[in-house]
Amino acid sequence: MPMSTNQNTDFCIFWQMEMQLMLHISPSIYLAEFSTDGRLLHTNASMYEWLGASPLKSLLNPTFEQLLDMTAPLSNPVYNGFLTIGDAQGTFISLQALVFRKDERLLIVGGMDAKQLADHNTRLSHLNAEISNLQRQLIREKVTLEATYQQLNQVNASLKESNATKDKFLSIMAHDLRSPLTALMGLSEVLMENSDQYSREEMNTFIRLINEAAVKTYRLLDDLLVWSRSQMGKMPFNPGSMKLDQLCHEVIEVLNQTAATKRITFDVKVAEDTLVFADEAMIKTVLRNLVSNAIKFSWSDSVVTIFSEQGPSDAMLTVGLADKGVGMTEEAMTKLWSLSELLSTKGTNNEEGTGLGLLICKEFVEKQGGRIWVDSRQGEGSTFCFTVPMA
Amino acid sequence: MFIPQNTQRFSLMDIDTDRQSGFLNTLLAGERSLASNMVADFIREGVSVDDIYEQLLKSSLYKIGVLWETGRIGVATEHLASAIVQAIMNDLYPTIAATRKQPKTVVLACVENEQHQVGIKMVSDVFELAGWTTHFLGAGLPTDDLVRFMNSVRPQVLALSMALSFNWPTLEKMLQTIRRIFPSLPILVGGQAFGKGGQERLLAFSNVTYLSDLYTLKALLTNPASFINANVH
Ligand code: B12
Repeated sequence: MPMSTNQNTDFCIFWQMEMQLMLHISPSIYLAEFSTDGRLLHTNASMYEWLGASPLKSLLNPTFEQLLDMTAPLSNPVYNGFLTIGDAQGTFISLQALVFRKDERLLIVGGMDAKQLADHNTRLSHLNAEISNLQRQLIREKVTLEATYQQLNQVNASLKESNATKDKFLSIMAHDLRSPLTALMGLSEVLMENSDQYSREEMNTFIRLINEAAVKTYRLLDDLLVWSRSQMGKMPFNPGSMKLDQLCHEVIEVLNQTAATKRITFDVKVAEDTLVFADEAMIKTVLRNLVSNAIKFSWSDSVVTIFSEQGPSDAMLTVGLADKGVGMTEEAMTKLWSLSELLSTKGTNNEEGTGLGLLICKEFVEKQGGRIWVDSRQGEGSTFCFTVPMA
Repeated sequence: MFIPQNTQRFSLMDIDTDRQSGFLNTLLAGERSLASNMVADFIREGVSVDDIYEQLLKSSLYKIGVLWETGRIGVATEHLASAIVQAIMNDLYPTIAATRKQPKTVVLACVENEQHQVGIKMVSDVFELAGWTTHFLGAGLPTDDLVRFMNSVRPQVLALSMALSFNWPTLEKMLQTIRRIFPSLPILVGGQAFGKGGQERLLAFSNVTYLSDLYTLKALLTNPASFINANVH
């Protein structure tokens, strides 16, 4: 409740000492007295902190000159409003201030409007809470966007992969199937039109060539079929335990004929009781591909060694096929396993391949939980190894 | 049905008192980046988010409450500290937001008129870390808006926070309204008002459970036999 004038006088006299003390120590009261010629006559501690080395310059708004120009009836303030003090380049504050003038002296009394400060503070704190909540929303949306972006990248990569698969399929169709079929057509045409002009021997040669072209076409189609089925995840997978050395001998049996044309022999260093846990069709395809590759790239009269050893872990077996043959460069080794780099190299006897064989091997080895790799030196030979779980 | 009793400790690591008071001092000084760095250090040391929330952020804010109560700091400092704490929670939030979500949704809000939102924000993060999709609605939301929102997202759980004891009547009114529209929805409540007694007033409502802190909440969320998880398919 505001006080009456009488009470006020009494109050001020009664508390005079305390009021004086307050004026000088309170951090919320700002006091300064200037002479009109610009000398600082008196300040309290809180004001002194802001006026610093050059008090006149610290009166930023209104300035000292502006205050001098202001006039008012006796004992009324010449100025009532915000007074900004401080260092224009640094920090400053706005005080709620009254400025009085008596004779050649100016009195500045200022302070902070606690109610206004508190009100602003509350509003700012609500604003901050709101912004902080909003920031969380944004963080969350960013995280979601990043996840979506990653998914898109993955889908994109697999689309590229399947596009490469399709391209490869088409190019095999276009090139690799074309040449044996052209041979078939040409040879059969010759036979059809001029069969009476050829000797029996010549006829036999033609028939043999026709058969070779047919076999090659068949093999190519077979590889394509296996590979595209595995690409589409349509290969049945029924692993069981089986004897590795028996599998090796069965595969060699089928390919012995081909090996014989280059007088290549096999040395199977697999213990009789070595059991693997594999899908029979898959592991046989892997072995068949690796053996026929070895034959293809071996020098005539050489030996292909098949071996097995435990490792790299207790439960895994490493199976290897070493040949003495053309081998390959570092660069060729890195390109072996990728569809986009697919290359087919001619063998020592100009044998042709589809370039799909090793990709099929990789798929099947990995499907069975293993890994496949090659070690090779150009001009000396290659060793292909793969791992397979032991039974 | 599994309801955790009182505040059991599920924490693996305690933050020592020296570092707690160091952190409190940076908060009081308003040193946002220093405080952020301290929390980042704790994370690097392997301290979990719930331990940081309970033993660092919450314990500091409680101490700030005491400083305010005993007249040593003003509301402005309280504002500053809770602003820094929320900024730090946002520092941690990208990892929290990236947790894999299951099809479980929770709506979280303060009791009407309640401005204290730090606690329920922490609760929201613990839900999110447990794989829940969270809708944190914050402070000052009228019950009508809350109900409208719940109708649109159909949560499996509602979580409400109340810090001020004089908000009890508001809470009871809210629970009545919500129960009329969602008769069996599990509701979790928490906040400092409950620590001051009056929990028996919750008995008037079915399936409303009070939890004291993040550890009991985490236990509830990770226990497959809890009533919350039993309701989720
Ligand atoms: C920061 C603060 C504020 C800030 C809030 C800023 C913000 N955006 O949140 C501001 C300045 C706005 C504020 C205002 C007021 N405050 Co205040 N405030 C605090 C302070 C210092 C910290 C609050 C906090 O964040 N604590 C940390 C969190 C993490 O703790 P928590 O809320 O308890 O949450 C934990 C658990 O309770 C639980 N939990 C909480 N909710 C839920 C919900 C569920 C579902 C579950 C499972 C668990 C759960 O999980 C959390 C982690 O364990 C406290 C002091 C204190 N002891 O907490 C006072 C305090 C809460 N405030 C208090 C008061 C009185 C007020 C004011 C009335 C006066 C004032 N001080 O200005 C106003 C009221 C404004 C309003 N209408 O709400 C009192 C409340 C007393 C009471 N119980 O009634 C306290 C306790 C201070 C005191 N010692 O007296 N305050």
